[in-house]
Amino acid sequence: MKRLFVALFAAMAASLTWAQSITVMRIGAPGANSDFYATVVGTHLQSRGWKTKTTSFLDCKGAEKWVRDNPREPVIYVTWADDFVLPSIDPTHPRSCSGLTLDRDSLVTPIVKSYHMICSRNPVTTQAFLQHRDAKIGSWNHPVQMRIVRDTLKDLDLQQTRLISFARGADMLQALVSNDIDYMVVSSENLVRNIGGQCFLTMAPRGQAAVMSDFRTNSTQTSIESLVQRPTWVGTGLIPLYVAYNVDINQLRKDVVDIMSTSIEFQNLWSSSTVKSGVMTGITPEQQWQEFDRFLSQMKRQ
Amino acid sequence: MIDTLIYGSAGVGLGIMAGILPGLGTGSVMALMSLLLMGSEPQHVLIFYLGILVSAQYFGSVTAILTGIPGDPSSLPSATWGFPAAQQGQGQELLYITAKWSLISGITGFVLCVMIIVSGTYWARSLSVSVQSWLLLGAIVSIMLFSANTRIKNMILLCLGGVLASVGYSENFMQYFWVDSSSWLSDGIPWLPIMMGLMVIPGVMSLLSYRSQLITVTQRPRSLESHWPSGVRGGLIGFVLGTVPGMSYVLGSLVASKVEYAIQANAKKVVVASESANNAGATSMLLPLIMLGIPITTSDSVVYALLTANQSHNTISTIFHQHWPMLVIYFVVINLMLFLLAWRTGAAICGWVFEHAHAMAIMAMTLSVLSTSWLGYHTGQLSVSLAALAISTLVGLRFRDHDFSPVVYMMIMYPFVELTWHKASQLYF
Repeated sequence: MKRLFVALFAAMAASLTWAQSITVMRIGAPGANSDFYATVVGTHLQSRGWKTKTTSFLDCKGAEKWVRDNPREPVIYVTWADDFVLPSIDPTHPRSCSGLTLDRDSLVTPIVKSYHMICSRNPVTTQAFLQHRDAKIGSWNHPVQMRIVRDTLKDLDLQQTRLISFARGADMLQALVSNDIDYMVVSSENLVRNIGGQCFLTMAPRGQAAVMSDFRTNSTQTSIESLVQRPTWVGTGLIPLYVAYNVDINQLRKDVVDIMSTSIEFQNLWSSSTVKSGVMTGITPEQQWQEFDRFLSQMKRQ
Repeated sequence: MIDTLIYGSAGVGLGIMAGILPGLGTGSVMALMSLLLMGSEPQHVLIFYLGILVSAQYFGSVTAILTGIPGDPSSLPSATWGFPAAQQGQGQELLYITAKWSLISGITGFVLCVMIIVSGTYWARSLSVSVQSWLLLGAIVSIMLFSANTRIKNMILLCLGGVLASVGYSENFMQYFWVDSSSWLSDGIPWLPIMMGLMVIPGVMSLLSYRSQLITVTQRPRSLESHWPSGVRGGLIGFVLGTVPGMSYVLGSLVASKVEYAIQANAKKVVVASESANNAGATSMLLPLIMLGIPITTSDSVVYALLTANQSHNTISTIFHQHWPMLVIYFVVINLMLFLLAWRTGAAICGWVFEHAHAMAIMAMTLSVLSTSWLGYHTGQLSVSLAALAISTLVGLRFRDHDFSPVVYMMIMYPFVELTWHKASQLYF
């Protein structure tokens, strides 16, 4: 029995030294969405045999420097698909970090895919929105997001609508509550439903608009394609991504997808969300990359 | 449940020390514990803070009565009026009546706060950005007018805090201020080492030379004198003035003592009024923080920083709404416990803390350096944090008589100020 225990402890010690090590990089302001995603995956990777350490940066410049200074260190971080488009649109922008690259072998998985929606706290029809000439609409202040919203407002002939930018979604929700803005552009209707609002217009393609609406109430949203013949943007949304370098990507992908499918934090996040949970996890990595590559190409073409 | 007990007990224990030892205030203790609190659940941060706040009030008056030196600034009237009376043998009676009125006004004040918060938060959340901007401006002006230094000095310190906080990348304006992206300050200057250097370390170092003599208290029959009018007057004044940014419950305590003295120059009644005021004010001080997301004192602003590290500033009210029954129960229990401790064993506890004041000072200084370094390392700002700590410590020690709380307040509040200004500028200009 004593030998058995010794052998067991030796095996455990050995597994610890052989455990794959990875740095979990948190990029962005504390409390932002990316912070949540990074923290959850970092916590659960440990239970799957990874030895993790955490480092944080307020913006991607710090992360870019860290990656440059540690070219062979295994690392995983959370970012937004929009961040990989920005260097081609505006290379001088502070969020433009061309040192953080993305390809098939570094894309772990997109976290979720969701379409942009225009939402309000007041009961609004699409027709009323189109006739509201002096409205104020809120959007996340990422340059790519702002560009999509501006182009969409132009397509809808709503150039007088004032675009108000917000660094954090919670601040935008608060502005909607206090009627500082009339509408907001968001990718999760549930956030708006929690404050008594609803979404009425979506960037989802026409065939998908009904599918992507709230599956609890079966309400439908109007697709931008129904209103504009050839809209500048269709099928856009916020896509958070897990990206990793210098690591066994297949094993990491398997573990991260498992975490996203089974962890209580993600289940709580998606159990009451309109976004179909796991919509990006149910397809193969190759299919994910194709989906993502299509999105990147569309963005860069514009 | 266990976590709540641990945080609650730690808050009470550290609050007792903060109340007894001058130079170690509630804000300093919160800053020293921020390393441990940063990853904690937000309701535990609130529990811890309530524990510190309440116990500092109880034991600030114990120290003031028994030594003539207020452990907490709000206990100055107790030192002025209570100490001479204690020297004449009324120490035990004073400990009893101050503890009793701390209990009554503290619990009453907190219950009133909870009622206001629960019924008024919907209204508070509906305030437009223009109203929020005016309230925030009012808070900052109030701090300028009512903080310890001259108004000009407070204004300069507030501006300094704003400049320090604006260094680096702004999320709202999406640009760098004062530096560029390649600078070692591109991630900004963290507030914690600045607070440690300007306020915590100088305050704690003063404990190294601290010597105090406690008056011996003897058991005397309790006086049958009624203090209800004084207690109620003081409580009302303290509750209202506790919401004034800057001096908050300290202002309430001072005003209540002056009002009571004008009505009747009776030492015990003045002490009752001021202690009732400062306990009621310590609870009403939470109203702007919880309802509006606007802290009004340094300790409040540290709590704000800890809670908003994981949440938007508006969800402080959400956290409170989710946990208020537990907070009320906890508040009542610790008040009862502190009433007994302060009355029955206050002198003994004070004596023990004074005996170990030097050791505590050394521990606090070590903790301040360690926590600054640890947080700096984990945010990739180790060199900035250590440099900020070194420079601010030199400044803090050199200008020890100055109150640097406006600098710290503005550094913590600056992101909210910038956000409000950014929103208002987009909406109205």
